[in-house]
Amino acid sequence: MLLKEGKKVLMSIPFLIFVIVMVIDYQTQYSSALCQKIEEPQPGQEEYPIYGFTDSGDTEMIMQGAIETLIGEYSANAYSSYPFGFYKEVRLNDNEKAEMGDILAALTGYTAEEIVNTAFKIPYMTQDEETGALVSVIPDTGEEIPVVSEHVSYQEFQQLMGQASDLVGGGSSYSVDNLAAMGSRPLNYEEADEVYQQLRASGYSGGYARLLCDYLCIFSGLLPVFIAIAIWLRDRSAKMRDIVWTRKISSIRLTFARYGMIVLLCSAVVLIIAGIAALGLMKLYPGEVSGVFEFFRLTAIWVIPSIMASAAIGAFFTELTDTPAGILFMLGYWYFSIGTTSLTMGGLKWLTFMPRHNTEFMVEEFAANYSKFLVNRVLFVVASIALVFITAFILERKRRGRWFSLDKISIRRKKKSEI
Amino acid sequence: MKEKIKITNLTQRYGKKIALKDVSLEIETGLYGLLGRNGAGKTTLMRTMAGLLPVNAGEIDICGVPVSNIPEVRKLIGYLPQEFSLYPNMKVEEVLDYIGVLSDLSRPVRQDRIDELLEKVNLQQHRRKKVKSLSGGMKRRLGMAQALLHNPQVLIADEPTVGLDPEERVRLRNLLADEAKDKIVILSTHIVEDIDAVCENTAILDDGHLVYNGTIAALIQMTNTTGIEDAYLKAVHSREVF
Repeated sequence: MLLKEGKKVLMSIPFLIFVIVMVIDYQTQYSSALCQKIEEPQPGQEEYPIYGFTDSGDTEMIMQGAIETLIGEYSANAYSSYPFGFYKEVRLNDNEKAEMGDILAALTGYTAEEIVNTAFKIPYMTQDEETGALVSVIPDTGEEIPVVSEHVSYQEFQQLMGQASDLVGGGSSYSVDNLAAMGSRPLNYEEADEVYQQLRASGYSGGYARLLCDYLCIFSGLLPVFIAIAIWLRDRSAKMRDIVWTRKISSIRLTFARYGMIVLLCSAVVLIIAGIAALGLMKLYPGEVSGVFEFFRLTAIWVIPSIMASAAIGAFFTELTDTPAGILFMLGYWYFSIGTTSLTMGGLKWLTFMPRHNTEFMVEEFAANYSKFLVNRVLFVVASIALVFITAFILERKRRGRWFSLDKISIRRKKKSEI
Repeated sequence: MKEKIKITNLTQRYGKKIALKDVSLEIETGLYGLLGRNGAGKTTLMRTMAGLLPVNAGEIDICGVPVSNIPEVRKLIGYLPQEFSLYPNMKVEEVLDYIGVLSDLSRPVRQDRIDELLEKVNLQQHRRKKVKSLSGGMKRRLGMAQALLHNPQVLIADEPTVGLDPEERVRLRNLLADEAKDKIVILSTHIVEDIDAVCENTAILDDGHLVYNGTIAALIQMTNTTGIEDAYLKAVHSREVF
């Protein structure tokens, strides 16, 4: 039974698309992490951004960081945004640019012209030795400009950044939820060394596995719905329903066999990718890698629950409605999830559909949220299995003619001639 | 186990429309014809016997098993629906093997039954062809094979000859007659000739009412006609229950 259903899944076009998308996702998003070693931080620098950032929580620093970023992006008319969790560069038209200039003027007290003329010399942030205040330094002149505006309060600043966010669009760095990250600062040497040593002590596997799962989870949470819908609609489109429905097999066995094979084969794809990533890591750090099982363990507990949920949603809605309505639900849910999920585990909610942790580092943040993460994943597994049981129940009712179905309507339409 | 289908006072409704009204029948081993024009209630009766529709009122007992005992009924019944197809991209033997799995047959049993049935329905040479490449008649014969795969005690064939050329119709009728030697085979049709050719007993349904149940010879005698076609027309038009 499982082999037969598995063959149907393997031969389906949505499954082929799933495989292709997952491979492309791995190649374009993750494989670059395996191109270059993360070297041990050496003392002597002020900042170690490649080892991560930490939120300062300092409103002055948030304002400073946000205004500096906005000045740079305004000058280049190129704004970073992450509408689906992926990078997108946004360019504003003349009207929007003028509006953004007004926002900047309100924030800084400088006119748009002044901003453009000074900002091309990209300022950097430092602390005034005497006062301790944050100042922005123009590299060529050494002129210090107090970027933190004295013109606006933090509340007014948030309002203005909200307007800037609306201009840039979905996933903007200036949205209220993302502003805190503007106050983040790169790690210093001690902090960078600590996270590097943690990564090294774990044999590199944990950090790289977390980053892999972050990428894999995005499309694994969406595409299985298409496979489930294709499999679930096949009996109807092939006019096989009455033949299948009058067979001895129980609805629970039939439903779980189909669902199980979708989950199993999609899981096999992501686990194979996890294996490839583990091999890539061993090649990058010859003789230094340990605990590669972490790739498989994390993929199993992180990515597979999303696959299960997506496939269950597809099966349930298709059985319920006899239509591909599950696609609409899943797309909406996926879009909402991707737009509202924090890029690291710190923002994990109980019902986050696709947990993210877009870095090899920040292991403490991951560990601090690990219990919540596990509960989240178990919730999705339990909900998925419950949904499949309900799907089987609906199927059994339909097999007994005790459920609304499009086939029933068509019988009623035909009743005058063919009853 | 009783080799008999007993239908007692069966009434089936679609909303306010009555599809079957107080139908009582007993069907024993052999080929039993169910005759009626389109809309007479044949498909409703067939689907109810196959467990695909719930019984609104009355009782159906299939070889000693009430039709409400769906899991047991599914083992007893082989069903060839009026409108059906099979996975078009599967090969003939693959689709039968899949249906065998759904019927919980072991691999050796499946292999034996598939060989046997493909021989019987004359599709042995086409076993590696894809379903979509088969003609209408071949598909109907494949439909027969799938219905017989688990060797059911009861075979229900709903309008199996519709749309077939004369040669295929004869072939399919003969197949049904062959199976009827040791099974209850119910042939639903609106084509009088099909009944005349192979059925000894028949029921006539009209507008949800059972207007005749018995042998064809008795029907001809009761209606004072010379052939089944006239007898059928007279039975239906007189609306008299014979």
